[in-house]
Amino acid sequence: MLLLQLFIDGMASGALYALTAVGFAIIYNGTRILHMAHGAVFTAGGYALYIAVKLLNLPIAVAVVVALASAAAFGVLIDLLVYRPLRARKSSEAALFIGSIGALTLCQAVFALIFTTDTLYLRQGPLPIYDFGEISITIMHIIAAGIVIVVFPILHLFLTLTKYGRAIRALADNPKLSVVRGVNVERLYMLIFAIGSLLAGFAVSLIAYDLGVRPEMGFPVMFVSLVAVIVGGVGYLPGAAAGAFLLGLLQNLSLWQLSGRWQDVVVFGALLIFLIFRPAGLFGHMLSTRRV
Amino acid sequence: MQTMNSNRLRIIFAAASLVFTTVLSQAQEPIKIGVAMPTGGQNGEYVKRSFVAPTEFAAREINAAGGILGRQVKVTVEDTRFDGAGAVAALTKLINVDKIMAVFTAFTPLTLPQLPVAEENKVIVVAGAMEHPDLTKSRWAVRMTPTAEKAGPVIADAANKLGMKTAVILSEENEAIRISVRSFAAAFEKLGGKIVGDETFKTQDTEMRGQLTKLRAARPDAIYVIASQGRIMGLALKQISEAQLRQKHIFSNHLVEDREIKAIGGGISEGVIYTTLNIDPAFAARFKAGMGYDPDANAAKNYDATMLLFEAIKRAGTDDSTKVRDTIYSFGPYKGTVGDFKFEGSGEPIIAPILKVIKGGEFVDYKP
Repeated sequence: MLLLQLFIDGMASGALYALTAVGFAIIYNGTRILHMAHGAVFTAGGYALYIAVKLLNLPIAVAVVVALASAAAFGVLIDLLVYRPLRARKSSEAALFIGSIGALTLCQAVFALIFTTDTLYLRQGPLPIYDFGEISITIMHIIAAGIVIVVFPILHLFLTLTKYGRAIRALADNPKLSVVRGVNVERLYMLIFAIGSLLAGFAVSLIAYDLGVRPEMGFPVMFVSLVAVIVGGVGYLPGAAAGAFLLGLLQNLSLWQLSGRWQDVVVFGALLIFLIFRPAGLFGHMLSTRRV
Repeated sequence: MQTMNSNRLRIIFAAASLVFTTVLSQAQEPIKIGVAMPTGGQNGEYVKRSFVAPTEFAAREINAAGGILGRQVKVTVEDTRFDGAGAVAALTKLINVDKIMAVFTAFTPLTLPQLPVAEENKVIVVAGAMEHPDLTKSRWAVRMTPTAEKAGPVIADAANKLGMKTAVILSEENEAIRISVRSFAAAFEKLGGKIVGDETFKTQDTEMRGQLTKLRAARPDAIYVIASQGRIMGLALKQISEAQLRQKHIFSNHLVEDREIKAIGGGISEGVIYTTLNIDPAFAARFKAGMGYDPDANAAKNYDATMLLFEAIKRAGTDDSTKVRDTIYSFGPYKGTVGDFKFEGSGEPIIAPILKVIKGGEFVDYKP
């Protein structure tokens, strides 16, 4: 029973990681920017939710829409203010990476100045729990699973069936060819940032509602997303989701035989094993080019 | 003759002016103390409220009453960030630039690396709420709280008297806290109890559900949850409630009084039995009037630590750090806002924790 409960906990953690990891991966695959400021986008979505719920007293469903829109807008804003000027100067990928770390750090400091470093809570008390015999599931577990089940197929359909989705995939496959064929790359970048950030918005809405909002809450999530992308296979979108679920499961199932203090050892041990023995990740071997 | 007298008078007047000016400038030179703590970062607001503000509040009170030895107290605050190197850099700056005679610090991973620097520069380290036993091995340190190993036996005794046969532990990865945990486990097992689970979380963690799932499987009578900061304590209590451990009692430390627990709400701390020190209601009211919020145990300890330093400067008649340090170490009884301390030859106070319980959201004395 313990193992089953840990498996469910792991899948729930994995679902939350997957939303941010797929958002991160879609941006990386489409733009080749290692977008560490995705963590700041995540946090911005959390504060937007807090403002909508606690200050504007909006119903929670409306507040979540505000949070999603804010996260998407914030992601686009970072592209416009940070990455686009760097691209215009033909900056290297390393410069874009440094720019993204700068944006993350700056945003965390600004959030702390505006909202203080205190945790801001959206709700009071424990979450509602559903018991199935010896197994307990929180409402957040159920909602996270529901979002993943609904959102990922929609994303897949968007990327494979729509004009813009196909354009994004083409850009990821061959950016130079996209430019030659007259695709408005800058506009497409905005769309990519909006979609990736929107996914982070889903994750932060759940986490903020459960655990509150803090200025630096995006950094650990960002870090896990990066690991998930590497484990899943850089360049392959479903790989990021698979990597995220694998990490969630590893973190929780390791508790079956090990103490909680070994969780990081297990996660980063797995990362090292993948880097050494399977550098392309779980699914990276399936690619000859990157795909969204 | 008249010219000679006039010149002599001028010389005497000039000398007197010089002496007067020197004395005056010395009298006006403030007594300089520093605060080197992590005021930024994820727990910055908590540190400011419970660690920095009480020292500033005490300095404000003493300055309003005319200062110490006719001199005002100047408090300089430096952010250490939450790492040892940052803590050492902040202290070095306070010593070299601000010329402090004493520094207020907090948290084991930050204070222990600061000790050699403080010793070398003869600066008194005042770590009001730090519980790690090694602190007072330094001949330049002082604290105002019982050490970590004193809380465990008090909790174990209470658990035993309540008939708890098995217990699990959920604690933060922190040296001082692990000392508390070990002392609890040893005392509990000595009394015939059994520890059936022991899990940890990191200071920056937000999720402990996996650990709690494992602890739940051990079906304990009691859980001892212990953390160093209110935010993480609040999340632990919330997730204990969600994990449905079905324990009969929760035991903890004074962090359950933190306002973050009230902010999370939902009665997550109701019935928790915990170790703390009693805060003098008159001080609590005065502090609230001045600062706008209730002081917790750490705030009261830091206020006491600041006032002890000021009393020692008065008693020593100087702010010379060696003489002030010696005065503290031989202070004898000191009546603080969290109880009666006694210093006999070191910076280690003689004081024992008491037990309280949360009833109806209030912190009341625990009566078995």
